[in-house]
Amino acid sequence: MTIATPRYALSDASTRPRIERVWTIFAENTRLRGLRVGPLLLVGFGFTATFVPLLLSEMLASYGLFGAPELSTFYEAYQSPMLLIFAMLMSAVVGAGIVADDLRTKAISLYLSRPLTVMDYLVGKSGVVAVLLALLAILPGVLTAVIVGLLGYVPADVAATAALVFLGVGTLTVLTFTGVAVLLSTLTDRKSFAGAGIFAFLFSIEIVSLILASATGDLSFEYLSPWEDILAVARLGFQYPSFLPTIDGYVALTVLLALIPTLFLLSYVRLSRLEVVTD
Amino acid sequence: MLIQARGISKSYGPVAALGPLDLDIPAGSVGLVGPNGAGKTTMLRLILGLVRPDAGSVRVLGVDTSTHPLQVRAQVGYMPEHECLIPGMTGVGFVSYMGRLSGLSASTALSRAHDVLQFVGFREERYRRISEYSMGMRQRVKLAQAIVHDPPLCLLDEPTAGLDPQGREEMLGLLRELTKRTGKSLLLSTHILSDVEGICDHLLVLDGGRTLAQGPIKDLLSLGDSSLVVRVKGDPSRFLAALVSRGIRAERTGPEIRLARPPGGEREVFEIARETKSQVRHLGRSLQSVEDLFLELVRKNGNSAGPGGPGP
Repeated sequence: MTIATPRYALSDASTRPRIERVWTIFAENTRLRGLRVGPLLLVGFGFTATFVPLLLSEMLASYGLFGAPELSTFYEAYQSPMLLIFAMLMSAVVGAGIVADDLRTKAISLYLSRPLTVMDYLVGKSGVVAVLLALLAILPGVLTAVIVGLLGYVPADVAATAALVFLGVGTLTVLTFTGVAVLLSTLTDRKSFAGAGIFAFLFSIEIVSLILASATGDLSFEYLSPWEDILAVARLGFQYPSFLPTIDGYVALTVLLALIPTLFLLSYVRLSRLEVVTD
Repeated sequence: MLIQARGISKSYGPVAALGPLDLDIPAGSVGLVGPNGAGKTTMLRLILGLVRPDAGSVRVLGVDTSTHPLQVRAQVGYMPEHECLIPGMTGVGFVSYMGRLSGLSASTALSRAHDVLQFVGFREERYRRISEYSMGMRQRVKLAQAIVHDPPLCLLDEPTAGLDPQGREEMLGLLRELTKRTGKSLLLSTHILSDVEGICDHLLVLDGGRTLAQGPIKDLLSLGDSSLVVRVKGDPSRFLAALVSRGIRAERTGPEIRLARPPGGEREVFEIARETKSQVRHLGRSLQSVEDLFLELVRKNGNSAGPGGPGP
């Protein structure tokens, strides 16, 4: 064994600001978790499954097929179940282990013994899931709007509005799915349990709310499902004329704006109460 | 003072984990010992600012841990007892990552990661994944991440746990080197009392959340100069009775008899042995090691539970 005293002293280096440490958590975990076969395949397939049909429908709409090239045609992205399926898969594959792995390996004790708060840790970790989800829930829509706008398939003002709506609704989607994934990941140290929980929670709540709404004839049950809320907000944003009775977009937006901070608050409370130093 | 605590106490529900107690821990290497449930973990949590005391305050390097926990953690390196490494990372990647989380820039953290890994004896294996490391290598990586940001104080929780004798000696060598060459202060929480003896010059003994003893090890051991321990062949009860009849305070603890040093010193003990036809097989100071001191303190405290597993 080589025993040699390290050459440095603390005064050699200035301490970087806290935001940089949060960025370090985000960047390192994105590299560790995002640059793997599973997430990369999900991004590839998920992006393609949303982007290609949407782009084609907008281009065809400009030739008078599938309706006129107007804002409501961009709602096509949300009519397909692909976005929901891939967002759920991404939440389960990447989000499940985002905190659970640190609980299992107890690496969380090292994070929290550094000059970082629980909130710093949570923001850095959530950012990883959020960015990967954004590649599925925001990028295809915004990119489509920009492309069809630039190529003249759709009037520029319509394309710009569509891009903004995709950004807004996509952000809500990303935050909701990230919140669910991070919360469930803090509840267990087993990634598989968290992954199954995320999928089961999002999927089952969607099915159950639709069944209840259908069985009772009371549409308000659909507010229980985050995905139905997102669809309602998307319909509102894209001014999509629904011929069937649907839930109100403004109420759905309110539900989501209450749900998202609640999810992150619960994650924060859960992590704050962890016994992290030793067994 | 490195760590100063005034009137701190901490309870978890109805269970009192610590205190109320006062502490004055000087710079240097300090051993924190105590049986399981003594409050060592709570003490470390308080020092790191991870929990707030119910009452009182803790100051580390002059900074209050309750009001400025991040400032304290920037100055403290922590080596947990349990597994805490990230298996998918390489040794150098992990240590560098921990350096960056402590506030170092990426380039400085990488450079220091190489320095400290060199210090703990890593060569090319630093580029291997942590999941491929042996127990000894993992312990050394844990030490490296604790010192990568050059903290003036390191909290080491059972640093030799799970190591074979050679690995243990290597780890102890590193810790000695760390204190002597770099002047860092160590707070070493351990069950292995001989580790404390080999490294530390100050001792803090906790039991049931209370301080049983604190001070320089030399001073604490010298308290034992006034008492002796004797092992005799023959009839120990008769020997004990003879001691007591001469007004010497004595008691039997297992095969040994502990007694206050008689006015006539060791010579008087031999005289009593001759009178009672007993043969003195061992005679010495009652406290010769930290382990003796620890056992004596716990015994006096009326706590029958010994340490979780005192080492050799």
